[in-house]
Order: sequence, then C-alpha cells, then structure tokens
Amino acid sequence: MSYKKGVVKTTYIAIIIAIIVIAAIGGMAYMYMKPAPPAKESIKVGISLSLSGGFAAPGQRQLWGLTMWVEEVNERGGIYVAEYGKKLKVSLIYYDDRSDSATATRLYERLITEDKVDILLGPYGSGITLATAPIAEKYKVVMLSQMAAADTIPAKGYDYVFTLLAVASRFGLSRVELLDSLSPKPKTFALLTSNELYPLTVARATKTLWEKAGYTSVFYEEYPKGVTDFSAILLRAKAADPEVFYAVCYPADAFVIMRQMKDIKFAPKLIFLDDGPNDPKFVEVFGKEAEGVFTQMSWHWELPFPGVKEFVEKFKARYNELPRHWSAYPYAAGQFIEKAIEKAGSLDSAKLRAAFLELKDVPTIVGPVTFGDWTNPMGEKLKQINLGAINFGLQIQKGEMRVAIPRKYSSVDIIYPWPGWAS
Amino acid sequence: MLQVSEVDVSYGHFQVLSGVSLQVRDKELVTVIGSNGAGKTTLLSTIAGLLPPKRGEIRFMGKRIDGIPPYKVVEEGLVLVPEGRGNFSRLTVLENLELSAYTRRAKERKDETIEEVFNLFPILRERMHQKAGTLSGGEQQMLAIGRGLMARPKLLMLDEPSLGLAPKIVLQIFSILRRLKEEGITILLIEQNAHRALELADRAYLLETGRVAMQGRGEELLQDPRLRKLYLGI
Amino acid sequence: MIPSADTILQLIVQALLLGSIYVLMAVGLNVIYGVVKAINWAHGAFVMLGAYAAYWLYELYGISPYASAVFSAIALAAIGAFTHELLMKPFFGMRYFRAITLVVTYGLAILLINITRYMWTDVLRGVNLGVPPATIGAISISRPFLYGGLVAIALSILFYLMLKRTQIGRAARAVSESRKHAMLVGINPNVMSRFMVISGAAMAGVTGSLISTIFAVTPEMGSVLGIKAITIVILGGLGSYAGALIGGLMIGFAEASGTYFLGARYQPLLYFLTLLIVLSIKPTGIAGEE
Repeated sequence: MSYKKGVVKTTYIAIIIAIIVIAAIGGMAYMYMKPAPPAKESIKVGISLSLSGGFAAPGQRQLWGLTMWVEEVNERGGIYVAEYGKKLKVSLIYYDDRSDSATATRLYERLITEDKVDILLGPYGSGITLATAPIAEKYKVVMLSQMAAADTIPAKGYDYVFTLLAVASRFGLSRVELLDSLSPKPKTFALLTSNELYPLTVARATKTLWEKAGYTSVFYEEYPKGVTDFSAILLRAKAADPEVFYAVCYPADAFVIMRQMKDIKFAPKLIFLDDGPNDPKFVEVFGKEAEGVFTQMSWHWELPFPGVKEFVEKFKARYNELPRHWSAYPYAAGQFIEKAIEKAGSLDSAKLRAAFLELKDVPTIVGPVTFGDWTNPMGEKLKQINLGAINFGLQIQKGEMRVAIPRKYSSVDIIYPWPGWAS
Repeated sequence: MLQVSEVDVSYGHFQVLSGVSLQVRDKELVTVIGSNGAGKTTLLSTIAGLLPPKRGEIRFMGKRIDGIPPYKVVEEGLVLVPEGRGNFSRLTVLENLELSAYTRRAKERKDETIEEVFNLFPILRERMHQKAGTLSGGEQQMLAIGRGLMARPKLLMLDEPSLGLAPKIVLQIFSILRRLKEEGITILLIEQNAHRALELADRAYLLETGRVAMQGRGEELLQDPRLRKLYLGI
Repeated sequence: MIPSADTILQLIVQALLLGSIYVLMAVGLNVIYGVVKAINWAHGAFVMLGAYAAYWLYELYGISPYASAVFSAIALAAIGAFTHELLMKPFFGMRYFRAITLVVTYGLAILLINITRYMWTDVLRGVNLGVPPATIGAISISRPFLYGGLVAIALSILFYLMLKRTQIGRAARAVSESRKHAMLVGINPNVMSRFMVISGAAMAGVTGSLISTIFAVTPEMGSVLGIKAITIVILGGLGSYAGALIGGLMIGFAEASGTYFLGARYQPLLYFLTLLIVLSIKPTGIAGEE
C-alpha cells in the first residue's frame, strides 16, 4: 500500500515539475522572441469627449471640428511619416466621458494602455483637463489640450502637455489693447468678477495689466456663486463713477447685470461683459441697447487667417450653424499635429514633443501657433502654451458681433463712447 | 347604540385589551372605570378609530366602524374628547370651537351650538379671543367638552375629564356632565374618580388588565364589596 | 465711502422688494412644513420650473408672466400633488420622516434641475419686458421688480388671511399642531397635507413667474433659490408665518446692505453669520415655537 502510494506521489511531483519547466521555458521564449511589431497602418489619435452630461453641447461640437480635420487629412492620403517611409491615415479613437472627470481619467488610461494611441487630444473644459493631464504625463504621451483655459494646467509644468487655447491670464493682453486704442483714452475702470477660478484669473490679470498701463481702478469686486441680485453691487459701482465697466461673468449673470444697470441708470462710457453678449440671445433681448457693448470670444468666424473661410463654409453646410471655438480649436489642433508628425518623421512621443517645441508660427485657422513658456501677469510660470493664442475683443455693431481687438485683425471702427440707455 | 364585541387590541406583542365587550344604549351614561394601565384609554382610542382592533367588531348605530379612520368615525356622530383634552393651543377659543363643528351636520347648526356651549360655560365666552394655550386647566377641560359638543355628537366619549383638576373644578365638571345627561346626550365616560363616575352612571364596566372584570348598574357596582375595597378605598 | 441719502433710500426700497420675493418663496415652503412637517428641498426647483413656464409662455406665445402666473401655479400644483402622493405620503408616520423627506426632496430637486438642464440646456434665458424703470424722486426702480414685489406682498397677505379666517385655514393650523387631534375633529389630515403641498408648490410657481422677469432663468437657480428659501425659514422659524416674513425681509436687507457696505464676496459669510447668531440665541428661529 505504502509503496504504491509513494509511486503515485512521485509521478505527481514529476508532472508538476514538468509543467513548471515547460511554462518557464515558454515564458522566456516568449519574452526573448518578441514578435516584430506589426506594420503601422494608421496614426491613432485618442480623445475623451463629453458627448453626454453637462458639457454635451460643446463636446459634440468639439467632435464635429475633429471629424472635419480627420476626413480632410485622410482625403489627402494621410500624413507622411519618414520612419515608415509612407503616408499613414489618421484614425480617431474617442469615448464619451459623460462630462465626468473620473470617467475621463479612466478613458485616457485605456486610450494609452489598451488602444495604444500615438498622440492624445485634451478633453473639454479645464476641470476634466486638469484631472487627465497627469495621465499623459505619467505615460509620457503627448497631449494637445484645446479646450482648457485655466492657467493652473500649464502652471503644473508638465513636459508632455501642450495648451493650445489662450489661457485666462492672456485675456488681459487684448483688454489693454482695447483701452489703449480708444480716444479719448479713459482714465478709470470698474471691475466686477465672479470669484470662481477661471473668471478670477481673467480679472486679476486684466486688473494688473490695466494698472500697469496707467488706468486707475475705482471699483473692484469679486462676487460669489449664488448671487442673484446685482443691484446693490451696481449701485456702488455707479457711485464710483468709472469710465469703463468690465464684468467677468457667466452668461446668466451678464443678463441680470445689464438689466439692473439700466434699472439704476448706470451708464459708463464702455461696457465689457465677458460672457453673455457673445450669445445671440443677448442682442435679441437688449436690442438697440446691446449696440456698442463689448464681449469676448476665443475665436471668430470672420478672422482673416488662412483656411477660415473654407472651414466656415464647409462647417455651415454640414452642421447648419456657425462654427465656434469649440470646433475651430480641435480642427486647428489637427492642423498642428499634422505639421508636427511630418517634422518629427516619427510617432515616438519624445520626438513628437521635440517637434512641437521646434515648430514656429504654424498657420492654423486659429492663427499662427508657436509653443513656448510664458510668465503671466501674476508671476506664474506657464509651460508650453500657445504664444500665438489670442482672446478676441468683440463689439456688438448693428446687432452683429464684430472683431474689434486685436486691431490688426479687425475690419471695423470701434464705437466709443457707448451710446447709453434709451430713455 | 354602540356595540363593542370581543375586541382584542395590542401594541406590538403586548396585548392591551382581550375580548372586551361593551354596549351603550341611547341616552345612557355609561362609565368605564379601572386602574391606571387597565386599558381604558386604549378602549376609547379603538372605538374612535385611532387604533385598529386585532379581533372583534365595533358597531355604531348598527354600522360597523372598526377599521375606518377617526375622521370618518366623527362623521358618524361618535365624538371623542381625548385624554389631554386635544385642544389646539395656537388657535383661539372661538377658533377651536368653530373648527370643531367640522362635519357637514355640525356646520349647519354651528352658530346655535356655539351659543349653547357659551351658555353652558360662560367663562369661554369671556375668553373667546384668547389662545387656547393660555387657559387654565379647568377652562381647558371646559373647552374640550365644548368642542366635543360642537360636533353635535350622537355619542360623546370623554377620557378622564377630571384628571389633574382642583377638587372644586372637578365638582363643576361633574355637574356639567350631569346636565348633559339630563339633556339627553349619550355619554361614554372614562374615569379614575370611580366614586363620582359610578354615582352618575346608568351602567358601568370595570376594566382590569384589559378584560371586563365586572359590569352592572352604577349603584350595583358601588355596593360591591371587592370593588369598594380596591377602587373606592372604603 | 458714505452713500448719499438717495442711495440709501434706493437700497432700502431694493431690499424691501427683494425681501418680498423671498417672503413669498419662504411662505410657500413653510405652508408645506407647517402641515406636513417636511422640508421640501425641491422648493427652489419648483420656483425654477415656474420661471421656465413663464419664460416659454412669454417666448412662444407672448403671454405676460403676470398673466401666465396662473398657469405656472396650476402646473406646479400638479407637480406638488405628485410630490405629496409619491414622495411624502408613503413615509407618513415613519420615525425619521423629516430626514427621509429631506433626502427624498433633495433628490427630486437634483432630478428636476438636471431634467431642465437636459431639455433646455444652461443657455441664457429670461423674460425681458423692456419696460423703462420707474423713477420716484431721485430713485430709480426696476418695474418688474416693483410689480413682482407688490404681487408677492399681496399674495403673502392673502394667504395669511386664508390661514387665519377660513375653516380650511383653521383646519390646516390644527393639523399642523396635532394630526391626531385634528382627526378627532373630523379632519382628514391627508387631504389637508395634500392641499397644503399643492398650495406651497403653486406659490413656488407664482414666485418663479415673478422672478423670471427680474433675474436670469437657468436650471442652476433651482438649487441657489432652494438653499436660500431653506435658510430663510430656518432663520425665521420653521412653519411660522411671521418667521417667513421676518426671515425673508432680513435676508433681503442683509443681501442688499451687506453687498453694498461690505462687498459681494462676503455674502455667503453674512448669511451664515446671521444664521449662526440668530440660532445660537434662539435655536428654533426668530419666530419659531417649541
């Protein structure tokens, strides 16, 4: 009995050892005989988009802009990559992050580790971009952010993250040009801003730059979320009697601010509302009184950059509306990537990154793009931002939003002073 | 008029009433006496519809009323003046009275009834616009009874109307009960003050740990030696 | 900076009008709390829906929000009935009724705000009646604000009289004091609580109509106003009519004067300080009982 048992035992052990040895040899063989990489068939561009949830409207438009670029570049046969000695087509890999940062973070991990994309595009909005940029940095994959304006992202100093859209602190540059171009030049300004991160950056940068340029602040106020009634704030601003009134606010606030300014008959010589008047609804609601009010946009369909006209026409024909920066910037990101891959001659991340930094004044529909470092008016060092990015100052003229600032891209005269309230 | 048959009531697993049967005839004053915790208040609450009986049935004017909500019971003309009086302290005396004529039947005769109540309790007329919460204990009880009358009850149930009142006021309350009885109002009265209650009652029930231990005419119970010893302290 | 007498007068009028709107909102919330003992967190969302109703009726059919307030009230009354039957009644008599309804109506608020956002997006909306401001002496007051404030005051008074003078009002107060004792009088408390939730919701609808002419209409306003309304009733005393009046006016004044003299950024701080001080002196709120 005991003898037989011993034989069985030995046989078992022998089998187990055999399995282990075979597995080990097989594993080593697999490791050493790494199969040759499959021939590269396409350039994989990965992005997480907010196709549902709170950012669904801009997110959808972001996809439209990208789709237009991908189709155009593939119609041209793709992008020539020297490393492979041929043109490769672009394939866009995208997922819906439901406007949620945590989901987007997982999606970028997946794009890198499972889909093995060659280059990444940034998601929608500063919040999601801030959450996902570290993923690109961790895996050392280039991420070109096109829909995030917060200074905090380039301020992190990531090597692999590039910011295409004008960051908030750069908005002040065109605000200074606006006041400088008026005649007679105003002396005093009042600034009202929401105290959320992004408007606050815009406001503080503008205030710093305006004061440096010699304009005097007679009223400065930061209002918290949840303020519904602005009349007390505006009464105080009115009492300070500024020539220029600038509010860095959200559209809903702009609507109330404008109405309550009228209620208390606060009529400065210049009204600039960051968001609100750039919505067609504003003109509809305020009619003649909207005339001469300033606002901003990151991009405008009448800009004189090469390709804008064609882009706008094609976009309108296809999607039945005017393109906004939500579509123009992703398209421009594609234009830039095209040039960068050609220059790098490779899809290797380090080489791509180097090409991003070497390229100067790449023409795109958002203007010439050059990436470099910049110190913002508050003294923060920003890494790899688009030094060509402009936030455009617009003025409502005859019910239309017209580019007013920078003057070199404008085709209209500025109305100043603002005509005032209809009595 | 009121027929309670074999009623069981329990709070969770704790049985409070077991097989209680009782009846009140037209124009009778029936009293239920018993010590604290014997189930007297539970009995009235059950009849009023505040508690569902587990077993047995309750009929009022021939109609089954167990299981129907309290506000429907009131509509039938069966009105409870609960323990603690049940006045609305934030409403004035007048508001309390007006509110209590809530059913359609009572509403029609509201003004007339208010006059009657004021004649019965002249002090309430004086306190008419005062908040009920500011009344003294005796006045509160008068208001409670007054509210009960406002509903034009066919049967008025009173839960310990003399509780916590000064002897002089107790006397007054009992004389009012007597007057109501003489006016022909059917009353089911619960009292700890067994002596007075039995003197007044046509018939009486003694409740002991949730069971009817004794029943009979008021005087009969007053004469019972065991009852005299245990409940009347004689 | 010392303001001129005119500015102060203007501020006071402004605060009064703003306060009146808040009073109406708080009365609506308290009406529900008084009888049902549930804080309806979705009250702000109800106001928002009322505002959207007014907006769409104005935008599509040109109906003035003052006229369409009736429609807003009816629409919200329906939503109120739904809220009562499905989100409050099933929990009656439960031990943690207040906590449960608070959480459930909070959920409802989020749901309504997000449905609105989904259907109509965050886009800028609002009813612009285009009427010039009214000038009284040296002060200039927005007409929609003026009308809104007056309608709010009138409605609040009307509701107060209803509560005080009618049998249904007395019944409501009775249920508010004791459901059990009210039942013994012959009142069906479920009918009363349904009636009051419907009334409160209808009042939210009217508040929304008035607000649509004054402030911007966005889904977000649902949560902002909801928190404001709850702050006011807690400040004034839950379920107390006088509390809603005092609390609403107080917040109106705190908002207007605080913003003017201290600056808008201190507004949330001012809110919580007021609440903290009042509640530490009187934990049940200014006019709260118990």
